[in-house]
Amino acid sequence: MTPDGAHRTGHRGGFWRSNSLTLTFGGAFLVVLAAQAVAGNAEFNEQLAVEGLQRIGLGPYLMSSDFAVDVTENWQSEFLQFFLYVYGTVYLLQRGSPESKPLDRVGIESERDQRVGEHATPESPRWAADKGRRQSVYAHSLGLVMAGLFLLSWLAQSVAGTAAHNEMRLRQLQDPVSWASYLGSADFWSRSLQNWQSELLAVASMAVLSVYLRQRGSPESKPVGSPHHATGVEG
Amino acid sequence: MATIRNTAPVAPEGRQDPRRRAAFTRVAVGALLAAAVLSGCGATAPREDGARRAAGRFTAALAAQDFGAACGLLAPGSREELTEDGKAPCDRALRSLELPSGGGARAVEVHGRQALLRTDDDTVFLSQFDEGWRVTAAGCVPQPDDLPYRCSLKGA
Repeated sequence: MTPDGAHRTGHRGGFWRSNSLTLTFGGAFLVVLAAQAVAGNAEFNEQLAVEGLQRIGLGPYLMSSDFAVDVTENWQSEFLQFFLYVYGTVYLLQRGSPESKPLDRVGIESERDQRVGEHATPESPRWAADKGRRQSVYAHSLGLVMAGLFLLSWLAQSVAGTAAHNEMRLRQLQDPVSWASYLGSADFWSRSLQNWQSELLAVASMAVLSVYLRQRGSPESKPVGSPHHATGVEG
Repeated sequence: MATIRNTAPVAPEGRQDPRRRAAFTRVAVGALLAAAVLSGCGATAPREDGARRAAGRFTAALAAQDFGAACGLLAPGSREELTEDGKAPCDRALRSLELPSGGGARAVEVHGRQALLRTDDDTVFLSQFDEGWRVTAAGCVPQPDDLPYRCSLKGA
């Protein structure tokens, strides 16, 4: 443990063990993305075959708007979920949840609590010690990046969605629509909202279920023997 | 009070470090390219030219009453539908439709592997095949309330 109570990382177990969470989920992401591409290609070709049109191979499908919109509609909702979670948990509380701060620490907290400015330690990130704009930016960098990735993914979904929607409309002998019209379309909002509702359900479920249920050894859970009313305690 | 040793070169106040600006530019360009790729954007100009040329050959064949050549430019599904509905070989069935054949191309729109081309007197739908662009529907009249075009010639 360091003097301020935080556990040092990266000194034991080698690179793999020290980064196994990121590496495992990053690798699984690539495998599942590839599987999604194969399944999506097959489904897309089924539609084309029914309409008597040319089927396409996996390579062209990977560059298609159909694949792009299916990928980006999920990405944007995940980044939105994490942005809302990171930002919302500054002000919102759940008694008894390890996902919540203690009930008396609502808000952005003091400079001392956050170890910024003159309270920064020698091990603090450089911008945390700054007293101006850099500290302000760095103090919100996680939420800002999540919000930026959400907006970028949502923009990509809207552009890819317009192209995919128009490709389908042309197959159905309908006029294509503009990007602006697509932003008000049922397809765009159906894709967005169906992802958002599932993310919000997952967050609400996690916040409340973690009050009463435990997962031994997980930092997402309270210690098994921790009382239900204990808030902001991680196992 | 803890002091933090700053080892990175700092640009004079009010001036941006050129290396940082270049790095930011690289990140911005990379993000835009990533967004374009993720959006499924590809080069549309060659595809528009291909669709325009195929539709032009089709209407030229109709104007020359070379219905055999026009049949060769139809998508397989549309050709099959035409011969089944017309109960005749493709060229005779196509002749009987009396499709518009005049007027130049006014606009073409390509989305993925599908295209729409408007001429002065017709709207033609096309789809991309291994052999090139093929006509899927022609002799099309727009319908109200965003309903599909009503077409004299179309696939299943």
